[in-house]
Amino acid sequence: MATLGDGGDMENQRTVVLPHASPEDLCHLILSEGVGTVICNGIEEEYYQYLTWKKIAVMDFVMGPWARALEQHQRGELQPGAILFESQERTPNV
Amino acid sequence: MSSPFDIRIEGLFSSSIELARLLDEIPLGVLLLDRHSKILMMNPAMEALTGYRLEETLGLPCCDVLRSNFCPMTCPAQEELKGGKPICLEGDIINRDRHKISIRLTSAPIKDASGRILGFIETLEDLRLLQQLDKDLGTAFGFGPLLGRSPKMEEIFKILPAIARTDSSVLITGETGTGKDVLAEAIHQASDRARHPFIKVNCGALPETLLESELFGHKKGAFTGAVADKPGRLRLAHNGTLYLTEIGDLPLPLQVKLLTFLDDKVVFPLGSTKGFQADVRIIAATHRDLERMVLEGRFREDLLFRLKVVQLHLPPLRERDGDLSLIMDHFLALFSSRFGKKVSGFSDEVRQKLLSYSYPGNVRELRNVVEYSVNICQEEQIKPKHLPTYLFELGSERLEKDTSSQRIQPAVLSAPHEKTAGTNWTSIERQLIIDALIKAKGRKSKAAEILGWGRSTLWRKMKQHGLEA
Repeated sequence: MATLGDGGDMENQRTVVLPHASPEDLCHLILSEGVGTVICNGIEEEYYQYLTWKKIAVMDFVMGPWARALEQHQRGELQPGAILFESQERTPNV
Repeated sequence: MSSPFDIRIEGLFSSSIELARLLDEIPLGVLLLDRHSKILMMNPAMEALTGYRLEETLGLPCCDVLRSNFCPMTCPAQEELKGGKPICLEGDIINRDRHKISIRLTSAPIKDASGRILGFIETLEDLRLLQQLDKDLGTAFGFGPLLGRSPKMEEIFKILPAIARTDSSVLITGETGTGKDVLAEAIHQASDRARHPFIKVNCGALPETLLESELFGHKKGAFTGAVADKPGRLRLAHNGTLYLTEIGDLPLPLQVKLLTFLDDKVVFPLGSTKGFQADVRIIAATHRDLERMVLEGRFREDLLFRLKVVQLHLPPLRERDGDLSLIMDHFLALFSSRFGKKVSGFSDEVRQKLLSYSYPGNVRELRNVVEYSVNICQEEQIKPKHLPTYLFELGSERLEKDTSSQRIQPAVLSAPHEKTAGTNWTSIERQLIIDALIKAKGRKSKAAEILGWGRSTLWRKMKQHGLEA
């Protein structure tokens, strides 16, 4: 979970571990923490609709290292469906 | 590395064959991965399951594309690297439509002659059909999820297994809420195509240009905004069934294109001259009178004849003698179990009230009434106070059951409808939500409590009714 300042600079960053995998708990955490944007890969339609209805931006189907996704988001360039792996990272090892 | 489409297998047959072609016809989703679980190859069944095309996923980590619930805990491939044995797991994936799909994954290592692991082969089996069959085992009267023991429904149930086994086009007609979508899916699930995709397209939901691209797909650059190739729904439904709902809303130019497809079975994506031979069964449904539309010049006669090779008419609930009680009890058991309630039955007064209502919204309306009542009810029996108020507010004409043996003509039904314009189930439910929100001074958790719903049910219904936060 990252907190960005007005200029997009990262002010704070922390890792939250939930006791068990639960989309309801995760949605509750997102709401209670006042999260503005969720960057993720897969999200079920029900929770996607719920979060967007709650005016939370959801960037889903994003694939790649989280730091790269955050950088792009800070620059305002991140789009849903972005694949952030470099071409050499996608070269199969056969 | 060469393109996966160029890889050929030599020595197996008298001439070499393409690996991709070999995997194409396998009804299970198949993935080939390297040692680091990066995707090397996937077959069309896997493309249909995940919603991604092979070209988009080459070299991506398998877990990013499958998005399975077991990926973060137990990566099958990494487990095999430790043990070297095949692994079979059941779980779910989230596809590109954000749908959760129950699957069984079998993963096996691919080894060279010295036993060194080179990569992995994974197969994904869609378990939705099996789960549905398990649920249906307890259903004594019906076909798939459809219930009924009235003579009209029994006639349909009798011919359905035979219809399901053929590849003929089916046209399903019936009033709104009679179960056209459910019937279409039941036919698919009972057919030999059940292990292949069932793709639904609502012909009334998209503008003409988007619908064309959605159905037939497009090539990169075919029009502004076409930044990548897109397989159409017809292509995705290959070997399976394409269900065209609201076919009466299909624009005329697309009717011609669909007609051409039904004749040739070849899909030409927008901007492409190369066709794809698609083996797709078409099921169409509409609540409109297509014959009349043909006379008015709004629907092509030749398309109608191709679609109604088999025509099934689902009767409205008011014509299904004896089914009401069965369906009421079925929904009561379903929602009691789903909401964790101990509601075991209806009071005599409620049963009488529900049996005497005419249900213009058919089974869907009955389902909504029972769902609402079970939500509201905090007792063991549903009493009149738990029923939606509109059942009591409407004129007695609507509550009086038509006891005549004659079929109720739409003209007869239209009179009470006109009187009660604006007081249908949807508008009453909307009003109930507004009333509860006013009572709760805008606090949604309190409003949900007043209505006897969960918070998520309330937000879903608020969204459905366009009541923004």
